[in-house]
Amino acid sequence: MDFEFLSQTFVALLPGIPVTLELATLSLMLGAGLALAFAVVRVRRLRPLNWLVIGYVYVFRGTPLLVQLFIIYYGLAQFPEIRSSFAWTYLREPYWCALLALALNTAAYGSEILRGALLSVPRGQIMAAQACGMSGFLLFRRIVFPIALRQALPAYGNEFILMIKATSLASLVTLADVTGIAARIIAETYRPVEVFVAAGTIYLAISYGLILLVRVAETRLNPDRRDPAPVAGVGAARKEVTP
Amino acid sequence: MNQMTPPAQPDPALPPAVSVRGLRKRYGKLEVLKGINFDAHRGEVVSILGSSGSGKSTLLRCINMLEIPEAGTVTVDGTEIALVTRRDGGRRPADPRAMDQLRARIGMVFQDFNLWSHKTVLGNVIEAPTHVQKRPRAECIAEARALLDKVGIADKADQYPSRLSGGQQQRAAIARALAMNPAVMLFDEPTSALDPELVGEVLRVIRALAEEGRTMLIVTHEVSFARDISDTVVFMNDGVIEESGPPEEVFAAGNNTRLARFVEG
Amino acid sequence: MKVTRLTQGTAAALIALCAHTFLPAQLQAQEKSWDTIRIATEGAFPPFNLTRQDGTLDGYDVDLSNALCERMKAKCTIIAQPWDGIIPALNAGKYDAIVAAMSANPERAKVVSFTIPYAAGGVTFLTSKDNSLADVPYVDTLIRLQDPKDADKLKAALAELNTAFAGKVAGLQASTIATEFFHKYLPDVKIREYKGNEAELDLAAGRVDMIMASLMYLSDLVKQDGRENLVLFGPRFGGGLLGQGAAIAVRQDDDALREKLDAALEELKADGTMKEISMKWFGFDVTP
Repeated sequence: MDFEFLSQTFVALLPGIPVTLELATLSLMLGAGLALAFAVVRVRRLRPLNWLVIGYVYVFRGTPLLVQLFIIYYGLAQFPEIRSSFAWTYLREPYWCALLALALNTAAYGSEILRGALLSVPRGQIMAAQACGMSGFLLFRRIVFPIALRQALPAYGNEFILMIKATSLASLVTLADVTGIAARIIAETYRPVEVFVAAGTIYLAISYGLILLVRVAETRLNPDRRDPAPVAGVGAARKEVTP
Repeated sequence: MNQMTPPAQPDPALPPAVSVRGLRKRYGKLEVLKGINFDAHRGEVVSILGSSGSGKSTLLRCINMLEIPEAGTVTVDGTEIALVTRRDGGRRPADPRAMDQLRARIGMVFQDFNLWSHKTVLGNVIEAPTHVQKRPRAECIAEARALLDKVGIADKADQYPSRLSGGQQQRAAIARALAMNPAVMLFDEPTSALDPELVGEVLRVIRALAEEGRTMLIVTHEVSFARDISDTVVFMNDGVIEESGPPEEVFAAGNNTRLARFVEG
Repeated sequence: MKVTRLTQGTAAALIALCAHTFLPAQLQAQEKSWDTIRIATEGAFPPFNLTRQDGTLDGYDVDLSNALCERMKAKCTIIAQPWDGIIPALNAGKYDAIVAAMSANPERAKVVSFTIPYAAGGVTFLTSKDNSLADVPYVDTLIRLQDPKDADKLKAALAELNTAFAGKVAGLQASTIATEFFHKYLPDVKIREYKGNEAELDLAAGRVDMIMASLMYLSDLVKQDGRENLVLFGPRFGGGLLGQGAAIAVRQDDDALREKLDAALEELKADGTMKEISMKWFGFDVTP
């Protein structure tokens, strides 16, 4: 391993980090918004939207992200109707295509995470809110969503990390993210090992930072779980009275 | 507790705080309530006794429409909760907003406390006053602290529910219900989920509320407690009210063999 | 296009890593004889090399390889290898020679050894007929980079292209001589780099205005069904960093193999076999 070349490569890859981070951040934000909407449709069983969302999740979880990216980037471009439409302003740019593919993909996974989290909100806590006169959006915003969010965070943190790594596929539609620059350096130097080691290190560092962030968020949102909670007298001796 | 205040007496001149007529509720083929009629007057403490499956908890949940009855009417504080029939034969509230407003005036305490796990005790108590009644936050906090002091857990205001004992959680839940200044309080087996040594602290709080003259409906298995604090005892069996009246009459010997067996437990 | 989250480059790197560990002993044992040779081609660059629907490889490179092996009395296996990892995998010992329309240019010559060229035509440009670049005429004379005789022609051609390419985007396959050409001679023109030949798709979609590749490849491309809208334009370049034409790449220490291949290539050139294969695939003679 040539360490001088390795450090040069590392420096050359740095300009790709903002592209990688921006793609990951924007797609996760967009995707989470969609995921929440989809999860609510699923939990509420709003027909016929429910069926559409089920189909959507099935397709986007059942096909590789790379295929989705290529269908959006190369596939949609085949249709003259799309090329002459307003959407082409965005779809002609690799950046927006990559962002769209990433966001749609994470929305499918995210909606399942959030659906599970929404379903796990204890029925009794919802009933207590209803008994206080809360319903509809107020009930969702104040009670259901905050509890579901705490439930979803560990799994969603995983999804964050998967998405950081998934952004590397954007290089295949010519974007100069960390992987895109890495591919270019390999093309010029024919030395893949050092370049991939440098790129891998960068992804590792980003992921590690993200893991820390998620951990901080978890601690913030669950102050009661900071150390083991003493639980006494709950349900230990439920009295059953029979005649 | 303040022993100097004499227990408030029910006032039959005013319309009843809760009035139930012809209430029926079924789960599939199982009919749980088979035509219930009863009134609870202002300031009256009504205990509802009965074995498991007698329908007493369902009756309580029908009063604030957590369960929607198939037939019959519920009137709370002079307002009837209007129900309309759905296409599938079930019923739903005619005006969801009116139902929310009515629920806001009925305090409910659950067997499993059901405190909101993501909020502190204080957060639980001020949640509905600030977001349903939309009262000023500072005022709600001051009131909440007074209520927590009243139920004896003022020092737990900033704790999360999972850090509290069952008895403390149930007292916090009572404070949460009281914070809405309800016209009537519903207690659904408030001590059934508690370890025996924690039952007393919760019963003491409920007793103090009874002595304040609050209108309360209490579903309970604590027979002697019910006899002690109730103006009226209702005994339910198999979806109907079998006995109803002042505790000394209802518990009079030989009146009802099933009741006698229940009391002996 | 293989559908996998592992990019093909990553796969190549893994192969390279494994190969470094396991292969040297085998290589040494084989050093002198070369009676079996493993050859790699891309399999996605018709008519030089292509993959039939049943998975078999075909094309000018494949026919030429078979003819070479026959001459050298060697047993050959030909495998397909994605372009962007084709040189690292050679150096890692995954195979012994690359016959894949690879231009023998100085940059590559730093890491591999080239035989004498077996096809020459230079590189040129392709655009679609509705693009304004289609107005730039196609000039069928080769401008040799770094050839003093062509210096004036080169200067004039580049000046013309720089004007015509203002605001245009070129779609190029990464790790090709076309990319190097743009970096060195047209550095102000915006380029997008693709792993394979997807730049053609983006030319059709209008995302890029032109592509640059070998004349032999492009002249075949425009003959395909559904590509009637594509048109060659601009001058044709060769020599210098573009190399002297396509040649076979071997590892730098495999001189014996290179000499053997050189000899066989000379034979095929001399007896007309190369011309015959060329006519079959291109319709014209690409023999250097």
